[in-house]
Amino acid sequence: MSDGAPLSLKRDGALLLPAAAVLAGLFIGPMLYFLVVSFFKVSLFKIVPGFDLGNYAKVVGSYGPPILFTMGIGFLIASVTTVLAFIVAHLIWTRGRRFSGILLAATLLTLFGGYLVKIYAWRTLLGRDGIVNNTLVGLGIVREPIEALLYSPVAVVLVLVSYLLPFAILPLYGALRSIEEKTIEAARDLGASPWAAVRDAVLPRCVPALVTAFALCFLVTAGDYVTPRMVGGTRTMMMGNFIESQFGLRMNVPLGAAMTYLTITASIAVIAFVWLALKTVLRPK
Amino acid sequence: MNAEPLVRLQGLAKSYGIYRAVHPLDLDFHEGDFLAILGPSGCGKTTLLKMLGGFVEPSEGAILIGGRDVTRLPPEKRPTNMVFQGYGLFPHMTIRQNVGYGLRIAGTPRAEVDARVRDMLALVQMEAFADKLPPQLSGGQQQRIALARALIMRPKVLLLDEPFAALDLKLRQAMQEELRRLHAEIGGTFVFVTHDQAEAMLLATKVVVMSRGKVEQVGTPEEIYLRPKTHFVSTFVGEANFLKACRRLARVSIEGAFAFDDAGPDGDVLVGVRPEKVRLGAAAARCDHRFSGTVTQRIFLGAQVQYTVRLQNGETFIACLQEGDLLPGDSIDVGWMSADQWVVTP
Repeated sequence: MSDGAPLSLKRDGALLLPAAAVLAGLFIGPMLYFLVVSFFKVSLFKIVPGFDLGNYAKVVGSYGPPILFTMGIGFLIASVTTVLAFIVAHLIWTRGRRFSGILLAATLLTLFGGYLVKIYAWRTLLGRDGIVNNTLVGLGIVREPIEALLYSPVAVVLVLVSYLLPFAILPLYGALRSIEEKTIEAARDLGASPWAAVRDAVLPRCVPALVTAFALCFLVTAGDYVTPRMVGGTRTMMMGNFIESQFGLRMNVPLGAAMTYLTITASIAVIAFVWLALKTVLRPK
Repeated sequence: MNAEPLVRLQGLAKSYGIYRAVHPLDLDFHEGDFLAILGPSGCGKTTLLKMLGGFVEPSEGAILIGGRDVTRLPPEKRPTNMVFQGYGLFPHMTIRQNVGYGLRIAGTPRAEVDARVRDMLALVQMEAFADKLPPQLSGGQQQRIALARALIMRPKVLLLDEPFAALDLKLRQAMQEELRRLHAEIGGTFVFVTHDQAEAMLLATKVVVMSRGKVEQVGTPEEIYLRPKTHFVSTFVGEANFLKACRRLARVSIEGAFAFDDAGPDGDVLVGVRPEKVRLGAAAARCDHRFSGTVTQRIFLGAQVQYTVRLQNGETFIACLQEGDLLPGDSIDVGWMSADQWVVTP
C-alpha cells in the first residue's frame, strides 16, 4: 500500500477481514447453525440433536400449498413491481431531461415514510370505512363497502408493490443511464419501431438490473410476515407467518429451520428461472 | 445531373425556442453525390443531418427524398441510414448480429441475411471479426462495422455524422480512402458532416459550407476554395489575404492601385487572394495586379516557404512559394492574376 499503487483485493486481502468477519459472524454462522438444526428433532419442547429428514418430509407434506402460494404471490408482486419500475425508470431516463434528478429524488422520498406507516396508510385507504370504499359507495357504484379490498391477497399485493417500487427503480435507472442514446437511435434508423428498439437495444442490456430488481422484490415478499398479518386477513398465510410461529409460539425451531431452507431453495429456483427466461427471451437473434 | 434531384430540402429550418439552430434553407442534391456539410462546431450541421435522418423534427419546411415527402416520417420509415458519431454499435450483439440487425428487423429470410452480412463484412474487410463483440474492436474497426451496418440496408442516402472525428491522423486517412473506395465501388448518395475542410475537399463532390445555422455557400470543392462567396468561406476553407477596396457602379477599386469590373452592390468590399497564388519578384512582373512591398518574415515549412510581405499601402500579405531565398528587409514586387482573386463583403 505504501508504494502508492491502487488497492487490490488480491494483494491486500486483509482489508476484507472486518467485513468478512461481520458477514461470517452475523449471517453465515447463524445460517449454518439453522441448517444443522433443521435436521434435529423436538421432543417435549426440547431440541434433540440427530440427523432426521422428518422435518423436511413434514414441510413437503403439509406446507406445499403455502409454499406455492408464497412463491406465486412473490412472483406476481416482483413481476408487477419490476415492470412498473422499468416503466418509471425509462420515463425518467427518456423524458426526464433536466428534471430527472428531481423525479428520482421524488421516488426515493417515499422511502422516508417507514414500512409500517405505509401499511397503516393502505389500511386507511382500503378499509371498510376507507377512502376507496366511501367513494365507491358515495358514487353509488357499489351498494355496500367491499370487504375484500382489505384483508385479502389483493391488499398484500398493493401494499408490497407500492413499498418495493423505489427499490426496484434504482438499479433499473442505473442500468438505463449506462446505455448510449445513439444505440437506440441506431436501432430506429435500421428499421426498428420504438417498441422494437426498446426490446432489442435497451432490455437486453438491463437483464442484470431486471434480475436484481426482481430478486429484491421477490425475496422481501417471500420472507415477509408483517404485511400478510396486517392487511392479508386470516386466510392469507404466507411462509413467513408459518416460520415465525414455529420459532415463536410453537417453539419448534428445527421445523422452522426446515421451512426456512425449503423456502430459500424454492426462492432461488424462482429467481434462477426468471434470470434464464429473461436471458433466453432477450438474446439477440 | 440535371435530372430530378434525389433529395430536395425546401425551407428546412429548426428552432429551439427562440434559438435558430438552422435557418430556413433550400438544397438539392442528386443520386451519386458525395456531399459534405462543412462548418465549425455549433453551426447547425449535425442538426441538419439529424433532420435528414429523422432524429430531429424540423420546425419548418419539407424534406423530399425521391420525390416523396418524408418530413414527418420517423427514422425507421425513411430510406436513409446513419453512421453515428461514436458509431452507436449494439454492445451486446456480435459483429454479425450488429450488421444483420436491420435486415432481421425487416423480416429478411435467414439465409439471405447471412449471405448479405458475409458480403458486407468482406466489403469492409472485417470477415475475421464476425463473432466478436464491438467493445473488443478498435475505433477504426468499429467504424467499418458501423459503415457496414448502415450500407447493408442499401439506403438511398447514407448519412455520416463526423465519421472520422474520433480516429487518429493515420487511421483517419486510411478510413477516408476506404470511404472513397466504397463510394466508387457501390455508388449511392453519401452525406457527411465534418468540421475539417481538408476532409471535405478530399472526399466530397459537393460541399455545403454552414455558419451560425445558415448555408454560406454550396459548390464543388474547387468553387468553394477558388471562388468563395463570403468572408467566412474564404477563411474557413483555407488561408486568405485580403485587401480593402470599394465598389461603385459595378467597379471595384483599390485606392492608389488598380480597379476592375465586378458586379454587385456598392460599398466596402474585400479582395481576396490565396497565399499560394501570390507571386513575388520577377514572377510578379507578368501579373495582372502588382504592388511593391518589403519582406518582413520568412518561414521555412518544408514543402513550401512562407513569406510575410508588408505592402506599400501598409497592408500585410502572406505568400507561399515552392522555393525562395528572399530575406526579411528585401524590397520585392508582389503580384497575382485576376483569375485568382475574388471579392467578398467584409
